[in-house]
Amino acid sequence: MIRSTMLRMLRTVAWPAFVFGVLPGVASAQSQDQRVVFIHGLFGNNLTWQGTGNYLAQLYQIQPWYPNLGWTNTFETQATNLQSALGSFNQFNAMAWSNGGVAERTYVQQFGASTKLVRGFTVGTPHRGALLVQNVRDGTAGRYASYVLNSIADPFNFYYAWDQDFHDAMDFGPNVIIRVTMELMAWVGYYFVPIINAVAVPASQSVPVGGEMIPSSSFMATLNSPSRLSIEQANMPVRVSAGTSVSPQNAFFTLFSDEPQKWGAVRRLVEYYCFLLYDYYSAHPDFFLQANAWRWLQCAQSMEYFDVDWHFLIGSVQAINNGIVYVDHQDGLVPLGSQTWPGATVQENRLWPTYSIPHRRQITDPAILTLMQSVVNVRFGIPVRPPPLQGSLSGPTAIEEYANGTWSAGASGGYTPYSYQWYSDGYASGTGPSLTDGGWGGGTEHSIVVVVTDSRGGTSTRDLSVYVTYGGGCIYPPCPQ
Amino acid sequence: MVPTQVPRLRVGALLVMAVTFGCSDRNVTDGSPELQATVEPIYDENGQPQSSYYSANSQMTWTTDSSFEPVGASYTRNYFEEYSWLSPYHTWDNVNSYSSGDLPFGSSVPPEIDVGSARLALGAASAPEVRNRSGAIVQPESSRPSMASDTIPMAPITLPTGGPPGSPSASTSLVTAGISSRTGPARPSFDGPARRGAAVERLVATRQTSARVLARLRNDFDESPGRGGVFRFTKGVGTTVVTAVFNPGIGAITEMTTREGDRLLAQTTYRYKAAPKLGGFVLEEVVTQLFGPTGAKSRAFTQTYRDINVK
Repeated sequence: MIRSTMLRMLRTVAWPAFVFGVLPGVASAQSQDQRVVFIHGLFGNNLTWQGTGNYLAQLYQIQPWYPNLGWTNTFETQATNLQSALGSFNQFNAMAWSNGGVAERTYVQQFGASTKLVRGFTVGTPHRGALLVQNVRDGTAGRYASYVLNSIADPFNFYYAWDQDFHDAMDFGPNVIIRVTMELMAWVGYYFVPIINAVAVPASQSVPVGGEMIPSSSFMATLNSPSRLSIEQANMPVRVSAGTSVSPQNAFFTLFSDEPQKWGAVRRLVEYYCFLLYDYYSAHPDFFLQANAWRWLQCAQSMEYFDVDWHFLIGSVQAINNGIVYVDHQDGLVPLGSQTWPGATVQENRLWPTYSIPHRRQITDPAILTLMQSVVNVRFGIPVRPPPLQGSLSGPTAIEEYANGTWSAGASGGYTPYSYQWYSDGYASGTGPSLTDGGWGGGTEHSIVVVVTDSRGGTSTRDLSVYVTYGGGCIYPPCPQ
Repeated sequence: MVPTQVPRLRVGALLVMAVTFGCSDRNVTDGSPELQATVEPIYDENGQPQSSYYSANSQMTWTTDSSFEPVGASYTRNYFEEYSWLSPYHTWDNVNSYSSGDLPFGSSVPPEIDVGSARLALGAASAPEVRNRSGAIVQPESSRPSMASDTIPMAPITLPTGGPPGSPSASTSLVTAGISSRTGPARPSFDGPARRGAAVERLVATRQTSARVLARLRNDFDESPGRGGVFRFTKGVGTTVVTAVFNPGIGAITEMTTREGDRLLAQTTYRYKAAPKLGGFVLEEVVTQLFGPTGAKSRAFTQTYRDINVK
């Protein structure tokens, strides 16, 4: 699989383009198509947009460009890479997802009047930064993960060790899976997560773009400053932004599951039993066990608050009033407030509860594909790609000896105007929409071919065979006089 | 609002008969003068408790841990808890009734979860089955956790060797020593009468319950004098050390702490109010304060009781 992919790349990719990771668009794209550069986000590369980009290129007159900007680079470096990837071409439209939107904007701000982008679209872009990145970088997210895992595993493991009743129950039949799960969670909580914090946190801190993604970073302040927004407005007059959101319930699970409600139900079930076991142990006759009943409350609490905690970590909590937590729309990862492009000419959102589009589906969801078609066609003014060129050929299939026949060609689809080239028996015999030819002897057969060419070089070939009869239409001599 | 009853969790009831250790007619000779009187039997000659029903309106409130959570968020849940003594089965039956808004699992009945069908959408990965250690597919019989009361007779005690990091990390030998050296017989606190009385004893402090609680503490914990005339009891199992403070003026436990080594994990305080009709006190509030790794206070759980009714 890897080998075939490599071979395909080596065969098809021009070396300068390969350096910058630009892959050519679909084969059907025409040189006259409008160039659209598709910009990936965090953890992305030149493959990220290909499915969606190629789909759009089938529908609209798009020549897709897929640069690889290097997602770890600072936005400034990604902007420089984008400039190199676009080469000597101009008048690009840009479609960016997630972090790619910030790279797109940085590029316009950085290159000002010499920008090659004239229209821009972003979807799910953290225009004001992503709080989760900050919480990952400073270790808060890792500590929270450890806390959640331990709050579940701790009471199970504690009572498994010290309460024979519980021990027996957990070793009974299918319950053993619970015990195994708790052992695993405890292991992950105690060993894996600290390792993540010890390794991944420094690693995340060493990713250059990470520091810029923090909402309070100087980069974000500069990106959204009035002077920089003016540069965007002056050099990229069309700026379209889109945001999506999912239900605030079980938002975390939308990051990896199409059935977040089922995972949410698991969470509630754990909460339920933890609370129930608190009741049980808080009145236990063994005072040692009774004194540790709070461990179950910790479990129940962590499960009850999981949604709130997640919203807090990603920055979508807006207010807390009388114990009720109010949250912004969010796509499971980025609050809508950050997905909104300051100074955009158009902000298009697809929001819960009408839609439920998590961050990971923001360039593949049908509703977003429809939205992007509208953006391409209406906002960017890129026309619909016509159907393929279809030529036609009509006229007699039999003529009398020494007489002439006339054949007509037609065309549909493709790009007008059309031109026609006729061939009789393999020799060029005329141009234009019709051909008159003949004078052949009876009993012979001749080929008539027309090649229709549209204005972008597309061709369609049609042919027919003409049989030449003897006088009076006689096919086989001797013919009646 | 119609209360919703959650599935029942039967408490106690393993050793129905058993030893009448610490039984009711013991005279308590230590502690305050109130406790020196002859204690009325709390169970009759057939082992049935005198009180066979109690109930209370309970409210649980907890606060956030500001390390991870928005400051100011809080949570409150109200429920009606009932314990009934089921004579034929020699067990307490616990039923908690929640108003719909206070259900711990949201606004609906407890979800029946088929974990195996909760499909992951990460690439093509899926987890369609739940398997046991041998690799065989298992079908959960029920979402209700089985308790040992379902599985009597109990198996011999087999404590884990080492165990995962989340559990007490003592070795088998240490565990054994921890239990046997302090408690003599392996598990004296699991006697039937103690189990039957525990539920009532937590909520109500009368002369009978006080004597029983104190006797069981003295049997199971190491006693040391506390300040202000209270009795201090300590028990360590593995690396976990529990301290209970018994206030003879009230006749009940007023504080419990849990430590892991030198680190204070939790401190639970119990507040009672006088109940002349019962001739003692009833539990009014339980506050559990948790502490973070640095020793700073983290979240707190507050459970209040109203309308305690013992019959």
